[in-house]
Amino acid sequence: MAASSHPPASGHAGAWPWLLQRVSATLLLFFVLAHLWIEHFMHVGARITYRTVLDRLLQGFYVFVDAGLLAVVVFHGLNGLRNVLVENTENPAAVRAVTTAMWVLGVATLAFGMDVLSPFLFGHPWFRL
Amino acid sequence: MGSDVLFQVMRYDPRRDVEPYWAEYPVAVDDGDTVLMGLMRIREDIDGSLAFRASCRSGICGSDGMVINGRSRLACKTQVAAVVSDRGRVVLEPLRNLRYVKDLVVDQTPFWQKFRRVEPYLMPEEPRSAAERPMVLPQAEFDRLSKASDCIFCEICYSECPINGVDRGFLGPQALIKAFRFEFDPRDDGAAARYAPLSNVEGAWRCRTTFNCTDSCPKGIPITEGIQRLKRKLVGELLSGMQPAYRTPMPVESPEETSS
Amino acid sequence: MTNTGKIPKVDQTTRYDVLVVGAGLAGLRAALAVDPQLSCVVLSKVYPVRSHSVAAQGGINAALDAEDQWQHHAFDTIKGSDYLADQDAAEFMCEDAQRAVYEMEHWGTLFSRRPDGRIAQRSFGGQGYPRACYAADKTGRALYQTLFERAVARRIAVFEEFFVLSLVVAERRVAGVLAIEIASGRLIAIPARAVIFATGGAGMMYARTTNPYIATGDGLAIAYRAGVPLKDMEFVQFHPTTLPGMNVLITEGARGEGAYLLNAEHDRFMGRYAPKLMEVAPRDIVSRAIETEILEGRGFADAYVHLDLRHLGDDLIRHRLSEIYDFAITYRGINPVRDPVPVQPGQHYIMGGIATGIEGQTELAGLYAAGECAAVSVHGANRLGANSLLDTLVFGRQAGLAASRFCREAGQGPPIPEQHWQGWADRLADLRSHAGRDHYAPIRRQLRATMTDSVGTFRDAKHLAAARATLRALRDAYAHAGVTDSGTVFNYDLLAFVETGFLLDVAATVVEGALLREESRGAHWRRDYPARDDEKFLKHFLFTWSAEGPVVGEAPVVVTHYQPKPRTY
Repeated sequence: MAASSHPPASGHAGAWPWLLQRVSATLLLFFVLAHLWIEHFMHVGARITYRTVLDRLLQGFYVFVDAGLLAVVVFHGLNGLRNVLVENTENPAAVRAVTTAMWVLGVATLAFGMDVLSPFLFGHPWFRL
Repeated sequence: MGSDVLFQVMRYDPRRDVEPYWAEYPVAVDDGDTVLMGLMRIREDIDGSLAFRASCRSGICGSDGMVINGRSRLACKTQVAAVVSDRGRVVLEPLRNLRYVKDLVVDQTPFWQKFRRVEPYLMPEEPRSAAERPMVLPQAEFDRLSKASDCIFCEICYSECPINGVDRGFLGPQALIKAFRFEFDPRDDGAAARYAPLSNVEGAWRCRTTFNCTDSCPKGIPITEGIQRLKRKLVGELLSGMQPAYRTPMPVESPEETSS
Repeated sequence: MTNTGKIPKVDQTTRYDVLVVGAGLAGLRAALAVDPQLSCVVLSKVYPVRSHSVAAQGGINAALDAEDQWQHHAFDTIKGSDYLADQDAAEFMCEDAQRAVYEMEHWGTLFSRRPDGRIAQRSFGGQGYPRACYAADKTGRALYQTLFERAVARRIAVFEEFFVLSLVVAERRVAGVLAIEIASGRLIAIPARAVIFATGGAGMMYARTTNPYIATGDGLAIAYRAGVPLKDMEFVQFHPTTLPGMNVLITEGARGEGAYLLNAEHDRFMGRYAPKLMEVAPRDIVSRAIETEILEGRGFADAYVHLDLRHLGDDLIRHRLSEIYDFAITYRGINPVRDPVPVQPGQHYIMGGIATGIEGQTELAGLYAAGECAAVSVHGANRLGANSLLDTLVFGRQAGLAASRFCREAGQGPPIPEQHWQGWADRLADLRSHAGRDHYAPIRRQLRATMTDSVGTFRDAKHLAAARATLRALRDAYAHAGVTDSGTVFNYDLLAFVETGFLLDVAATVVEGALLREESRGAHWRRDYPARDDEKFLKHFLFTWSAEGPVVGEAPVVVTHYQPKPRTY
């Protein structure tokens, strides 16, 4: 039978999560290696005290690595988790709900993480929890 | 004839049976005989009412895909001796992920609809001309296209793909490898027309690279690799801001005239 | 899908202008040539891509090179036919070949290429120039997929899995066809102004054949029963190289690339049969040579000889002969890179068919035929390799164009008279309700054995007469035979029963022609008449149906430029 032309499905859905998962994976590799290098090789033999940690966290590079690692881990993990959760559903509303939940969870995690770092950056915490 | 092998076949006639049941047939099998030869013997000598599709007998026409001892395969390319050892018998079921109709017959309609959805043909149609058009491609690239065009529409990848199992909307490996074959043909200019069906949640992005299609393809087509290349091409198109073109039916051509 | 459990009623569907039966290369090419203003539908008893066109391996001939000329191609074709081809038809086909090949390339066929990007060509049997264009050893599939894709693009309507039972004739012209929808068992009468048959061959009448289960001579038998004559039926091609057992085809392209045929004494025996062309002599000659070697005791134990590809090298075998590499390993466990491949001749093609003219027209107004089921005739007594794909594309298109012209000129066709389908409806109902009569399968098995044993490469009066008697007995047995499956849904048992009847009718014409043609020409070799006799037999036989058996008529062979000469290679 002649095929009827199929109604076009929604634009780029699917492309961004796929692309960003790969981008975040690449970044993850960089941040994890940087993290491991810093923790295990850059301060060999040094005593770890509150003071030394504070000194480190006052340097932009360390903050960048920590914040970046956090953001990338959260995105990569939650994007993957979303994939798993929507794997067996064909219901668009359910997919939207899961996506929203992941975003809320991700932003909250990021905010909490940044809150821990914030006293070192601004001299006082962002939030008073 | 050699020894007897037990064929255990799922049978069901929607007009007569409430539900599918197993039938067992002892079939005389020689060394090197295929499962299809056994099925033909059942139909000719034991029970003529057994329904299964078959045509070329040599793995080219793609008619006789079925689940043989738990995996989707072509009955004409599967030797009895190669599968009988694991269960001591040959167990035959219809292909998965397609609606069951009778005995070993499934309804292939969704498979063909999805194939048609990716606009699987070279675009645009060149104006008729008697001129030769040389096509120079690196040998590796030509081989890749040639391999992708080996697809015989047997539906085995569709039956083995777990995504097709959970998501009726997923285009499936066959439609995607077919799209790949045209998207990477240097003569083709149909990317915009195929963008909408390919780049969406039921298209290439639904593939989870389980490699079941590649593992099961009777023609040995590296389907997953093709789909991944397709994804990379689609991302490129996304980032370059491609505007999907929705295909209108082909314009009515003027009737051909007899040559000479 | 309807599963009412009752005997289904006949449906009258929409009227069509052009109805094509068969969705192989010839059928789809015909449908694509039909005027888009007309309504057109293709009927196929399988999904289109299951058609046997996809199994063609070696190539498609066309004189493309500047040094080559279509006239040379025409001469090779006519000489290959042992001068039985109608020369105007052969010339038409060869002249149109270049257009046909370039058209397929423009539509997307992935032909193998030369280093400069032009379409590659290889040597093929009986050709004086390497002019077989190819796509590795899967040329049929490459061409077929392109046409199929073109049909998808053009939204050509296809009734998939519809089995045609008969041609409806009224007021001395075609009125339509009667078919079964296989999925439901429903009888359906489809009125059409013109019908094109492109139903392929009838290899299933032989036990040793390269043909698929679906090649059961449907179109031949249906046209024959409707009173349309069949032509040249005694000419049956045996392909020299098939794998013993399943008789899976090993392409002539293998020999075109340089493979040797060796007997059990390691002798390259073709030197004694065709000293100039050796392995790439025409198929009739190579098949007889192999059979002779086997009969004279120089073959291997299970009636085969060796095809040796080893000197061609791993790379060539895997790239240009990839399918047969796979076949040899899958079906015989033999790696052709390391070991010679066993081969024996097997039925491959019928040169005969529905008698048509160059435009595909038949004696019946509104009926056209193209492809293997038609005899134009360009193949005469022996078809050259790589000419059949060309035949389907050239004459499929011709039939589509001619049918369109017919529709424009001939006005509305007659309606389908009720008595036409009532006979079939009663017959099918009777078969279904009397399941359990003697099964048709032994009849078909005996038919195949008889044809392979007595109507094969070598023939003689004694065996042919015995075969004729056997066929008559089988026809009587068939009249009382029945089926096991009384169902309606996908009743393949019932289809095979009807197909067996088709095969019996077609086989009768083959035997009749073989008996009458007391000479040896092309693929038809009589031990008792081992010479060609142009005096008496440079003519076509036409077979017309009668209740007693085929009635034989004659038609002259068209000779244009090439006077018959002795045929040596």
